[in-house]
Amino acid sequence: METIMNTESIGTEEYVARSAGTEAAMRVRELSVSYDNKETLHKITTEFPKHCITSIIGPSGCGKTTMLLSLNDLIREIQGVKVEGEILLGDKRTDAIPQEELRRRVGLVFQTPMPFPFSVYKNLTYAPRYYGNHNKKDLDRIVKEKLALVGLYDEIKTDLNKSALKFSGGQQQRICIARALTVEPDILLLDEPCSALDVRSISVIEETLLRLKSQYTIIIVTHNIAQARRLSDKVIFLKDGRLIEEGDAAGLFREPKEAETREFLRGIYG
Amino acid sequence: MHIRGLFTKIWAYTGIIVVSVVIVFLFAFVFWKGGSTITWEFLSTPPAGLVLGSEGGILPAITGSLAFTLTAIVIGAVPAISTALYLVFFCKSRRMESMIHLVIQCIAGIPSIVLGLFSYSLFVRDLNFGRCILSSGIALGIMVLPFIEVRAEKTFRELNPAMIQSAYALGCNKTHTILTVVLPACRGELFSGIILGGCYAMGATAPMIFTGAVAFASNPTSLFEPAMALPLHLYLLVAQGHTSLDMAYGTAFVMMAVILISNVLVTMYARRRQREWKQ
Ligand SMILES: Nc1ncnc2c1ncn2[C@@H]1O[C@H](COP(=O)(O)OP(=O)(O)O)[C@@H](O)[C@H]1O
Ligand SMILES: [Mg+2]
Repeated sequence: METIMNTESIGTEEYVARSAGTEAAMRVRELSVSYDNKETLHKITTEFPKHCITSIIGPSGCGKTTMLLSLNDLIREIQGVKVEGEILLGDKRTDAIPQEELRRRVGLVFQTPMPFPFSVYKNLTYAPRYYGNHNKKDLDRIVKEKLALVGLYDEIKTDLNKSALKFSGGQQQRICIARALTVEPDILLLDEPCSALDVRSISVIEETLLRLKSQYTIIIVTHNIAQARRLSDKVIFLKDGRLIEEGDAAGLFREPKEAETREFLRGIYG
Repeated sequence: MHIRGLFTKIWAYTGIIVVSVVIVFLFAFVFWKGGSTITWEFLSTPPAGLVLGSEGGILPAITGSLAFTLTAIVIGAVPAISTALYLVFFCKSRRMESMIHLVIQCIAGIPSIVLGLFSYSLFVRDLNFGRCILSSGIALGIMVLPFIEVRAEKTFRELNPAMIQSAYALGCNKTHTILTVVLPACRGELFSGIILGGCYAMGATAPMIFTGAVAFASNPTSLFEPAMALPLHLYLLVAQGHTSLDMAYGTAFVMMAVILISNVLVTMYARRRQREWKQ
């Protein structure tokens, strides 16, 4: 718990220090998304600073998942979706980047841990192999490195050939995070990654994310305000598909400017 | 309210019991009647006798049925699974989707004898294939196509979308994802759908009688020759009346045994895969 408290304050200072100078890893301008002509996101404009953790919070159904899926274009796999506005990765519009490259550079971890029904080893080498890496030594190194990054290597190094589905929920979720990292993304999106997990796994995953942020830009959707407080450098509050308020985490949680944000935060605290 | 619940319960249990009894009785009856006919000779020799089939065995009918079934499975399953993949993973237009569903339902609604007639006039006559395993296999393949497609589509749709999207999110393209994640994850269910479709084809007589199944033939060696088939053989034996009735029960026994065993094996296989990879 203590480490988490510490990192929170460090994270905040980092954000304040950087937000003046650092460029955004990703930017969104006037993004609107509709399902079957029902507009779900309305003209969202925001940015995600590099090497920071940005949390997206808001009541359920407000469009958080839709937002994440838009960022790496997975939204287009859904029937009847229309996307307007622009999304920039670095300073390039995402629609000018080949879809597969975009998805490789913007990884996504889902709400329920979803390893492939193979062994852990095969899960982690799945993507590198797809990109043509068949060097056994190299693959072994990747598996070890990425599992170590999520703090799992020592825990499961003897079970690499076991089905990934046989591990606990928390372990599976970390396997999924490690798998997402095997393609060296710039940005890691996480959609309520802890909502199906127990308290202990949650704190392990939070530590993992805090460790990862020095190498990756992280965007996390969470319905857990306490978690957002512990992790975030920046917070974005959505409601009914509109961006109500955004800002650095410490400031926003201490004194939210908008009445709706206050209400939401108060509602959660009871 | 309580009474109504009780009534529903009684109703349900009675239903289960009646159905189970009928099924068990059916199997027991056939196995009891046919069991005594089953000898190694019956299974391993061709039919013989003055009235054909009153003596000898049913070997060419077994091998013939297997040949028809295998051909039907290949011809039916490939387009069926492709269609299911297209509908679930590629089709973006709802209209196209419902149109394809309509077509599939129509195929499922075609009486099998009409499929036989179609195959007869197109393949046997016009394209000059003659009566052969392939002509029947096509008719049977069309017959099992909707059967396999519906099951395959259901399996694909039940797959957690997040699993597929996880692969997309790694930058993998659809084809690769389908080949390496979807198909392996669904292997058990697909396999069982195909085998059950095969059992369905094995029991069907109508699509074969004009197109490839004959009263007597030797073991099949090529797709372009006619062959014997268990259900047709059974029909002919019964049609001959008393002389061959025991043989008919024996044939029925073999057919039901093949189907039952396939079903059990497939269920076991699907279960084992499930256990291997899931909790
Ligand atoms: N595939 C879909 N088709 C139609 N509507 C959808 C779909 N996915 C989400 N929606 C709708 O969009 C809104 C936002 O959903 P979502 O982004 O999942 O919210 P959140 O993740 O914040 O709970 C909801 O009202 C939901 O009903
Ligand atoms: Mg959601």
